[in-house]
Parts: sequence; structure tokens; C-alpha cells
Amino acid sequence: MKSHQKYFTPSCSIAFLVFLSVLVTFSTSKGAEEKSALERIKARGAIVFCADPYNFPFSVDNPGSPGFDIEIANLVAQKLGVRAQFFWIDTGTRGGLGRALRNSILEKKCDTFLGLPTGKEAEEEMEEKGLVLTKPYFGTGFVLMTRETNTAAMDLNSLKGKKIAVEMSTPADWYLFKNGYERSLYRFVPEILEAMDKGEVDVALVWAPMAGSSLKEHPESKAKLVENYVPEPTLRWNLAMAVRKEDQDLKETLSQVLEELSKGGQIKDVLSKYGVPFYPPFPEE
Amino acid sequence: MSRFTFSVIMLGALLVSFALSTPTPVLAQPPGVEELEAIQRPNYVTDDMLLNADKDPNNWLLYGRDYANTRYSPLNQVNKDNVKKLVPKWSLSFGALEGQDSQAVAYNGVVYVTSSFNKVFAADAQTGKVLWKYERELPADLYPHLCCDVVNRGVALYRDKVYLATLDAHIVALDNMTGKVIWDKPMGDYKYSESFTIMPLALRGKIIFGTSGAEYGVRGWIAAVDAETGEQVWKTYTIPGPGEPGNDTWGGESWKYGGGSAWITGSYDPELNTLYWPVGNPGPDFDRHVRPGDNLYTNTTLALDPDTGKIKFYFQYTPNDPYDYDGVNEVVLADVGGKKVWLHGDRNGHFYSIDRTNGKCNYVVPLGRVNWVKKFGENCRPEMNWPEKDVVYDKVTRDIAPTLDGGKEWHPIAYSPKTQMAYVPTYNFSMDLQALKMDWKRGEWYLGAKVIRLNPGNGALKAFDAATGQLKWMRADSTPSTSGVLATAGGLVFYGNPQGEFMALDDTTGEMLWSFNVGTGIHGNPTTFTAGGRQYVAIVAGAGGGGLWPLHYKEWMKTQSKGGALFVFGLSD
Repeated sequence: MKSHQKYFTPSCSIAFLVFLSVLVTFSTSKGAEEKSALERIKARGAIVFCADPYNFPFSVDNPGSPGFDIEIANLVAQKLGVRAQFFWIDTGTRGGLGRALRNSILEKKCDTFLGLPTGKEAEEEMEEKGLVLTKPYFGTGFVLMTRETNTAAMDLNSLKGKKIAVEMSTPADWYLFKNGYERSLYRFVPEILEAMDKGEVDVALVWAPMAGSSLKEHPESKAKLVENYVPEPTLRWNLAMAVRKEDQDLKETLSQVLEELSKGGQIKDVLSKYGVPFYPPFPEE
Repeated sequence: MSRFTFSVIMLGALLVSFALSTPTPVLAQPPGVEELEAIQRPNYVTDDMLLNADKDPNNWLLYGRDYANTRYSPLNQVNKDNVKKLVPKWSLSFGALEGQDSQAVAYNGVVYVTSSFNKVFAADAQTGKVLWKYERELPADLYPHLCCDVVNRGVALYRDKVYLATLDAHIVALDNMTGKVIWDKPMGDYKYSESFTIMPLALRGKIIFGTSGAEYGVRGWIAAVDAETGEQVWKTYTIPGPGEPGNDTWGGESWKYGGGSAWITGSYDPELNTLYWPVGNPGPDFDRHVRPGDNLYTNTTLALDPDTGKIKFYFQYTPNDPYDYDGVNEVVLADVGGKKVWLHGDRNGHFYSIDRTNGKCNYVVPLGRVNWVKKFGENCRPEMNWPEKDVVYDKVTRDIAPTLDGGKEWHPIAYSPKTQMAYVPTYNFSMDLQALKMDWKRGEWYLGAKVIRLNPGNGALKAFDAATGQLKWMRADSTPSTSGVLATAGGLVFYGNPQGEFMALDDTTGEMLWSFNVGTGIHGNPTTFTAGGRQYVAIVAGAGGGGLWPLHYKEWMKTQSKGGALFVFGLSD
């Protein structure tokens, strides 16, 4: 009784009140300090990915065959021990990717944006928008497709003078034009496939994801991607995910997880499901 | 009465009533006539009506009111003195968002209007009561193939039907009284990004329309189909194929992906029997080097034979275009300054008067600030201000005026034969532009351009003397003029802006006499007609659409919203 009374002396009360206020201040300041991206994700129990719903074979709003980026996203979420959620944003309308980024990840509708190219120009644009890219999870580019059976010595140089089918207005189109190759112009990769099967053209320089997945859908086609063809240095890129600049912890974690998946062969497996050739990320120039 | 008698009387009554109820012909059959049949078709639109639409004050039957596309109405019930008494009479909600590029057409007291996503409404012009509605189930895989919003510019009226050109490249003929589908035919392949946003043109038994979608390297075309059956009558590609004149203006095979969309309704001169159809920009939009040459017939107005689609002559505004100065804007036929001309406000920032008998240029004047042209040469051919304002890969070219929106965007001008002035809605911006070897578009790299900046600017409605091109007056605005224009005999010029202001100006001075805010940006075209002896003015409201300007909507969207509706105004009682 006497010690109890001694506990609540005036000076102690003041000290206690000071302690309380310090405690309160400390906890509110900790609350005002934003949770890190990973903490938010763990607390939520889910990681939200931004993806284009019309971007087969990358991503498409179709649970039956959702695209390789969606499947990779699911693997990433699994590794993080959370659910995967998706925020769909069309990147094909006027304003393109820029507008899509502004209206999705920059509005905090998602934690990360799937399937974006790396490289100097791309990274400058990311920088402008306050985004950063993870380490890339695979490489791709414009590859040779052919009807020929003997593809041993087939590289672009050996095709000088021969008509090469190419999708119009792509960098491959521009590359062939600038370097003096004979182009046969087509609007879309499926058209090139048709032309090849009709015998109109023997060889094409095509966007690997599109060509690979088109061939997968047409197993009867005589065309095939030239094995072991490595895309020209200016016609190849790596794909990564983008996060907001301030979410450095998420960037590091995603980079790590993606590297594990890449090294473990899981990314290659997912891509081959869609017929897309896997190249490990190319060395950045 | 005995039962027998009763029966006889009843039988008699029965016989009499039977005799009376037997139908007898009102008219005797004329001798020698096998069949006599007459079908009543209300609201039937004839060739005679369309050819004389300029002389019909009560209806609005064609895109530009008449085949000359003047957008001039002889109505003066609403005029400078009483326009202050103009009030909203009714409004129709479309139940649709995104850009509303349409306009109300009207015949005999019935208004027909379309909305985004290809809805069609028919309503009573006086009360707004919806008589019928058509909704189209667009295929789910359509949207990836569209470049520029889900707009539609309206239905064509002809005979007992209305004709809709759809986003999934069909033409649909609907019964004008019930909205029932009479026929529905695919005219293009939306999977290859062929799409329609145009109001088709009805002309002497044919329905004429052109494609959208040059963005994706679609080779554009204009076609005419039979109005009754939908069977193709003719089809003309806007980019000539091998062996055709003009094909050599495309280096190598670049003609294949020429672009050259034709999504604005053409004009027709019945005396010259010539159909004038505008054609848009080449592809790829910003790299002119992969398509060396003038690139005919992009950024051109074609003069066609309306019965065969054959090209008679043409005028090209911007050859080998690196700026996306889409030449698809409408042409307005006018007899002015002693000449038969067409008037045309172009994306490239200039206003043209071209002789419509032979394609020779009368004059070209700037619509506002322009710096990509050094001067104009033979037949108003622009001499480009290169290298200063050329679009290149290795650096940003700053301050190119105007932007690819123009000048003047697709929103149509009005020409008043009363004042002999052309009223032009203008945009006044400049852009910093760099061509990109690699533009990441939906999982693939394309050639493109990086519009670094849309520099601050504004807009104005400008009135030009149609005979000389001299600027007579202007009304400046802090936003570009994003609607079409209407001129009337009542001395009024109507137009709207992205802030939702629908305005009436004095046609001689530009003084603003009336305005009403419709609550969202205006992108459609105003029209006017009568019903029940009263004049109405109609405008479609709803922000959205393609182009650079909607990038500004981000700020605007913080307090405003999209939403499609039709507003109809009349004089207060």
C-alpha cells in the first residue's frame, strides 16, 4: 500500500505522461511512415499485377489460356506466399503504353507491371515516369522462320538477295530496309504464316512471341523457327517487370524470385507451353 | 310467336348479318389489271429529297445537311433576336461512355442518332420519346483491333431504312420505323483492323462508305453497295496497286501498308456528277523514309465517278507526310468568287479553296500558327521546312506547329451562302516530336513517334471569307474547338467545346449571343430541323475520342466525367 502510493507520485505521473506521449508520437509517426511495398503485399495477402487483357501470348483475360506472363506472375506470387491478382489495362489504344502506365501502376492500381522491355530507350521512359525495372526474366527478339529443312547455316547474312517476309512497320522491317535486304511486306505474323504455307515466301524475320505462338496454334504448318538462331544485337530485348521507384524492396525481391525461376527452368517451361522460344536475358549493351 | 317463326327470323337475321359482313371491294378492279397493291411507307426518303436537301428547311437528311456538306440551314425561326430564349426541350441519355462523335439527323418529326458502341436511337423530335432502339453485340475480340475509341458518326437515311456502319466492319440496314434489322452484312474484316466509324452516304440507290484504321497498316478503301441488297457495286482502294497510276509514288513495296483511311463522309456535285471523297494519312505515320515518294493518294481529296468509283482527278495536301497530318477532313462544295470550289480545313494547319472541276488550287491560307512549311509552290504544294522541322530518330524536334490534331481536326466546318463565310473550328498547339525506331505496342515493337510534349495552346472558331480566304473574325477559347459547326439563315453559328459549352454566335461578328453547358465535353456535330412547326437545335454531348487533345482530359477528369447524351433545344414558350 505504501509502495503503491509511492508509485503514483506527481513526478512519476508526469514521467508516465511523458512516456505515454512519446509512445503515442512514436507509434503515430511509424504509422505515418508508409509500409514498404512488400509489407503492404504481405498484409494484403496478395500481389497485384498490371497486364494488358488483349496481349496474347503475353497476357489475355482468359483463364483457360491466360498467356505466359500471367502464368509467370502466378509462379512469382506462389514464391512470395501470397495470392496473385490482376488489374487489366489496355495498352493498344491511342496513347499506348504511356497512357496505360499513367492510368494503372502510377495510380497505384497494382504493385507491378508485367512484360516490359529493357534497354536504354525503355529505361529512359521508365525513369521519366518514376518507374524502375526488375532484372529481366527472359530475352526475345526478331527471329528467322522458314520452310526450309536444312537450316544449319541460316543466318541473316546468308539471306542477302533473298526475299525475306517481315511484318510492316516493325523494327525488323526498318532493319531490313536500312541494310539493303529484299523485303516482302505483310501486315501481321499470321499472314506471313499463311503465305509461307502457300509457298509465296520461304523465309521470314518475325517477332518470336507472336511467331512461336502462331506456330503452336498451327501444328500442321510446314514453317518453323530456326533453332539456335540468335537475334541480331539491335533486334533483341529483355523483358522485365516495372515497379514504382519508391518500391525498391519489391524490385529487389521480384528480381531475385525471377532469377530463381529463370535459373530453375520454370520460365522456359512456361514459354514452351506457348511455343515461344526461351533465350536467357541477353547481355545489356 | 311459334318456335318455327322464331327460327325463321333468327335464320333471316343471321343471313342478313352474314351478307352485311361479307367484304365487298370499295373500288372496282380496273379492266386488265392483274394485281392492285399499295404499301404505305412512312418516312420514306427519296433521291429527289436528297438531291434537293438544301432546299428543305424542315429536315436534316445527310451528314452535312446537303450533298455539298455546307451544314447551312435556311431556318430563321431561331435568330439573333430571340436566341436568348433558347432552352433545352429534351435530352436523351445514351447509357454509354467514351467519345460521342455523332449527330442527330431528322425526318418528318423523327430524330435518329447514334452513340458510342454502335447504339442507334429513334425519338420523337418534339417530346424526345424513344420510338425504338438498336443495340449491337460487338465481338469480344474487337477491342484490341481498334485504335481510336468506339465512336460512330451517325446513320444514313434512305428510302424506308437507316444505315449504320459498325466498328466490326458491317453495314446494317434497319427499318426506319421499327428498328428491325433488314440486312446485316460484313464488308471488311475487323480482325485485320478494318473498322467503320463513318456516317455512310446514300446516293442514287447506293450506300457509300470508307474504312478507318490506317494505324495498323490497313490499305484503305471506299465502297458503294446496293441500298436494297447490300451487294457491292464498286470498291476503290485509296492506295493504287501495281500498274495503277500513282503506285510509283511509293518506294518499293511500301504501298502495301499505305494506310489512307477514308472515314469522313464525302460530298457530291450533281451537275458535275462527281463524288468528292477525302483520304487520310499514310503508314507508318512518322517514318517517311521507308515510304519514299509523294505517297498518293494519302492526305488527298479524290474526285470520283459515283457510278463506277473511278478516280477522275485529285488534290493532295501533304505529300510524304511525317507529321500524321491526316488529310481526311471533309470538303464543302461552294460556288463563290465566281468559281466552283471545295473548301477544306486541313490537319496540316491550312485552309484551302480548290477548284472542284479540275483540282487546281485557288488559295491556301494558314488556320493559325504554322511552321513546318517554308512556302507553297506549284498548285499549293508545300515546300517543307526541313531539316529544321523534320521528324528524325536521333533527336527531338521542338515546337512543330500545328500538332497532328491540327489546324483543324475532323470536326466539320459550316459554310453560309448568306454571309459567304466558312466557319472553321481550330486547334492551336505545337508539339515536340521524335520518331522512334521502337515503340512498344501491345507486346511488340513498332515504328512510331514519341510525342514528348503537347505545348500549351488553345483554340478558336474562325470565320474566313470563302472567296478570298481572308480572316473575318475569330472567337478564341482556352480550349480547342472540338465540335462541328452549324450556320443558319437566322444569322447564327452554333458550336461546342470540351468544357461542355454549346454556343450560338452572331454569324457576322462572332459575338456570343447564347450558351448552355451540357455537363460534359462536346465532340459531336450540331444540327437543326423542325417538328410541329417549331425549330429545334440538337447537339450530342460526351467527351472522349482519339487525338492528342484528350490527353488533357486527365486534369479535366479530376472534376468532370464522361457520359453520352443528346440535347435538343427550342425557343421557350
